[in-house]
Amino acid sequence: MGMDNKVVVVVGADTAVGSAVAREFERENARVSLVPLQPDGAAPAGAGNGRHVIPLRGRDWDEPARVMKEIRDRHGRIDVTVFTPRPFAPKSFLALSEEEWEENEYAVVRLGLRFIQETARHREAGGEQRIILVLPAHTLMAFQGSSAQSSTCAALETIARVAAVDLGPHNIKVNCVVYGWTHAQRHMMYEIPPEKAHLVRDGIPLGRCADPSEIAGVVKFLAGPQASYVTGATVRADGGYLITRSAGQAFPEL
Amino acid sequence: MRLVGKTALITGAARRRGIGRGVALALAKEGADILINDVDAMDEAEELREIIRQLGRKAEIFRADVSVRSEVNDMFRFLERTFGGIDILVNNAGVASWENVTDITEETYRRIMGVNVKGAFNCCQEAARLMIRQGRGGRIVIISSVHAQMPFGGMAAYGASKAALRELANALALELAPHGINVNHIGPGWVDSDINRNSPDLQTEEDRRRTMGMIPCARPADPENDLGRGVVYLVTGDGDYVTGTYLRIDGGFVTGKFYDSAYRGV
Repeated sequence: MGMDNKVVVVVGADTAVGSAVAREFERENARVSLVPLQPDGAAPAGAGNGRHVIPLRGRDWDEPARVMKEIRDRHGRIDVTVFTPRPFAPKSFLALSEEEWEENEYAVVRLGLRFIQETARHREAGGEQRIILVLPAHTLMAFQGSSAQSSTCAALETIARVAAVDLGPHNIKVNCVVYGWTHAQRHMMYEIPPEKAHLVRDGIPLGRCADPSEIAGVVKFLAGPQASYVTGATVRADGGYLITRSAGQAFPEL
Repeated sequence: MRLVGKTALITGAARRRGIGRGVALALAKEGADILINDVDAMDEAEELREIIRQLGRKAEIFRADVSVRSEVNDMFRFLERTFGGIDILVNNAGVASWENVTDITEETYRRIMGVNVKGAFNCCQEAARLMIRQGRGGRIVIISSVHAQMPFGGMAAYGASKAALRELANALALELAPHGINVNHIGPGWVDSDINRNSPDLQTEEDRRRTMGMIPCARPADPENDLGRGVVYLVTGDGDYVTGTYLRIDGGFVTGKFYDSAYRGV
């Protein structure tokens, strides 16, 4: 399964990681459809082979069905779906509102599930599909202030593993990539004062944050021919951040 | 009797064969007063209330759907008014369903995530706020599942909800420790409770024999003696230094691949 001419859907293309994933597949001459999560989500820069941007118009249960049908109608099939949820800033559990909790649940669990379902709906007899969820470190380890995001990301990671079981007989492989700190993250998630940046770096065995392209490379591996027997896996691309809990936390006061 | 003078709220506690009732009885036998919550089966809740009162403990019922915030808020106001406060929350209310991941409907999804996860959010947040106001710490036990560790095919929504509870418990353990509130979760294995009546693994005697054969201890968990006693450990002095822990009580069910309890090896 080389990427040449493969139809790849990147949901969350307006996140730093999603944008990097889209660029990676475009370099491989895939036909990439970009689904920004925000109504005004900007598509990442760069020209591609048959680039196609289709934003979510609303929050209805059936909205992902509309999006995926439009992509299937345009390209004739769907080979790979990559889903990465938009990140949320940390917030004290005691201060979380009901609306914030529900927004996390929608943006991570519900959208992730729906895009898994709608990818599988467009499978072809005798064909193969890959579904890759790209999730933040909170998925596997709780942090202070991460109750909503850890809960929802863990839920989605479990959906991926069950989907690998349920969809394996259809030759649909479902995997997750869990990333740690990326250079881009500080602009969208945790505003880390420069004087505290070392606290993050000190908690990463490799001693540096990732470039989003380094996450995208793992996603490409899971979408490619060398991962043909990989399903239900969760691959950490975190520079070793999740090995231990030591240091690596520079969150603002909650 | 290590819980005399303590008040415990147990959600989803009414059903005769359920985990919640087993926990309620185990805590009451240690001396705790009990607020029984459920959204259904009020006749069974009344029966439980009488059993607990006969043990010499205070017991009341509050009917509330834990997924609805206003009902949870009303329940905590009733708790404060009637019991004077809370020491222990056991977040047990839960629902399950079985289907291929592609067949999960919006209704099923909303019901499972609503009761199992949003319900836990609602109850844990109200309990934690009240415990902090009281200034004497507290204990929160979330009943998750073996699915929080090892999900099963055909149960994506349920498994997701239990994984969410796992990380909710972990995050709360970190955030509430400075307030003297310990938060842990328990992963029960098979229980002969109403939640499992639609399980495709328990429809016939042969199903049941096969399923029980996959449990190294070769029997389902007893809600009071196996699971309730686990909660007692976490909420008494024995659990003072235990927070952020996952206590799996499953007879070895998800320890590894175990196919038949009749197998004795080479």
